[in-house]
Amino acid sequence: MSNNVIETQGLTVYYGKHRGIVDLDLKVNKGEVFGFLGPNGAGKTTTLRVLMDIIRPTKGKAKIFGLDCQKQGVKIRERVAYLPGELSLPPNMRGHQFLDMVDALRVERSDSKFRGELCERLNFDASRRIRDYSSGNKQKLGLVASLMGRSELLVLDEATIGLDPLVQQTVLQIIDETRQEGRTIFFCSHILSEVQSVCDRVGIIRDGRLIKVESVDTLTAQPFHRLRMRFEVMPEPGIFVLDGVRELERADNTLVLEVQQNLSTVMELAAPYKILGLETEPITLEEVFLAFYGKNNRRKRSSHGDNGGENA
Amino acid sequence: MGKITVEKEVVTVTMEEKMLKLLYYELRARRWAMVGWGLGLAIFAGYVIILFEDFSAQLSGFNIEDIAVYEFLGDFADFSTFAGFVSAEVFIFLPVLLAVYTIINGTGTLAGEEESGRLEPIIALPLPRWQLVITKFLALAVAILVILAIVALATVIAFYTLPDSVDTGSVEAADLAIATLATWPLIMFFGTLGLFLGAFFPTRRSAAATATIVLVIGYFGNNLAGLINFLGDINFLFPFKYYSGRDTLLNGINVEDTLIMLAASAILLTLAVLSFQRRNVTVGDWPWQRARIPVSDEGSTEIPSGAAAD
Repeated sequence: MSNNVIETQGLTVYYGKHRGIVDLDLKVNKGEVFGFLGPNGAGKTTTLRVLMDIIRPTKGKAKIFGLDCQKQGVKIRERVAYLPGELSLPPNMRGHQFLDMVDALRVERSDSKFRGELCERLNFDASRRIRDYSSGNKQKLGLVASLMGRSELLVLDEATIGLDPLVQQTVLQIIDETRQEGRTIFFCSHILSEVQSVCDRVGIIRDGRLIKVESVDTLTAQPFHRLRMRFEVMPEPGIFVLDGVRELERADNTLVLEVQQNLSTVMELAAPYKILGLETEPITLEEVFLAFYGKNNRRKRSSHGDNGGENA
Repeated sequence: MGKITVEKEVVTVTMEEKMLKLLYYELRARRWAMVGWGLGLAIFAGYVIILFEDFSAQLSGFNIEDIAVYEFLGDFADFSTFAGFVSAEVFIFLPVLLAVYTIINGTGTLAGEEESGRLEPIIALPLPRWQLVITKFLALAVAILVILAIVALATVIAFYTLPDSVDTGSVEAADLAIATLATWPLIMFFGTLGLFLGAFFPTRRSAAATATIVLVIGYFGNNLAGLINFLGDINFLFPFKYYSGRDTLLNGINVEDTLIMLAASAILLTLAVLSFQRRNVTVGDWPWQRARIPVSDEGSTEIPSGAAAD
């Protein structure tokens, strides 16, 4: 029996003439946290919606637990919990009423004690009306709704969006615990740091195509920094032209550099200009993605087909 | 914030339980609309019935049928009688007003929720799409019945407040209640039409606009059918042909007309289920719309096939 919880073959979705996803071949193993990464509009949500049978593919197949997502969608959804990326909830309901409704429409009732503990851990008050919730609290409600059933597969689209850092950490901790219980998580995000902390493997999607599936260890092994430096005297342009160094921004005595190599050389070159401030900024997946595959690779894919960035 | 260690307790939920629960939440979401529309129309209907006491003397000998153009506005026959007066003032406007409500509701329940994004978390639950549509239909049907029940009660109460001196002809309190409840098939026709169009059209706006056009044509077409021969020939197409408040007050429910409206609703409900079953939700497609992969002159896909690695 296959160990794949999710499997897609040549999955393609077009919206009229617009591309959704193209020839997506994806395998997610049982018991892993699989990060599905890509910039906005890359096709992440489209993929999830096909898996949940919300939209139908133009071509190709998608299976979950070996069941066809289109033909056996209900059977699949009995074992899957889904958190949409753009969560919209009935404004007049109270939080606990929404949770009751979701619970009532699932095959198995969730454990109320477990639900209560989830609310407590996420610091979420389920007694208020949804219209009175902040976006962060709405997200917490969506998270509790998707986590409380302890489904075999969690499909989470931007699960931590709008949450404060403490709660984000709690969510990632819960995801880690979910993995330890042997359940599978399909984790869509464009934030590298949280992917690094919880995912076993990641698939990177760009322009609707799965560019690469990589273990997180390989992904994070890449030395990569973004430096924001404020100088007393602005260094002249061109001083940081080094291998693996790219100038991103230059304004008001502040320089932003993307540094993959030669970090110490950069610091040596910067020192004479009197550094007044130095910050390292969080790096978005897109930046890692571009650093990995770059424009040349993109051009190569367009003209010769995609080699999946095997040399990156 | 310790690690969760609660053991999972399995309590299975049946399909019927799921539908009933969803129906409960659907009705709950409509409760204030039901109360608002019910009370508003109850006050309107009750007030008109009570007003007949004052108008009956003035209307004596008045024959509105002498002015043929009034047919354009509706069935004003026997306006000077209690049945004619109540029919013209209540049972013409009641189904029209409630049809507007059901169109708003019917198109809002699938298309509106889809556009707002509220459908996505629900459709991702283990509920077949047909069950979702049927449950939404049932919620609409029950909501209309509740509204009509409130109005029917108001007509009965208003009837009993009329002094004995008022000539109500053969009309009894129960006839008013029956005539009120008998509007249900006609109103549900428009509700189901809204539901179907909401499932079929890519946007709620287009669905609501189309249903409203059907309502306007259905109403005035039927009224003008007596004046324009051509419209008389196709009168069977106008939904308002299948309900007459005056006839119901005087002769009871017309079973044939009622069955025709119920059958039409059943057909529209079937079409709504088929459309919703087929459609791509959340992206505003037509139900049978499927994009084709762009093909280049050589017959390969426009974007070269990618090799997704695992």
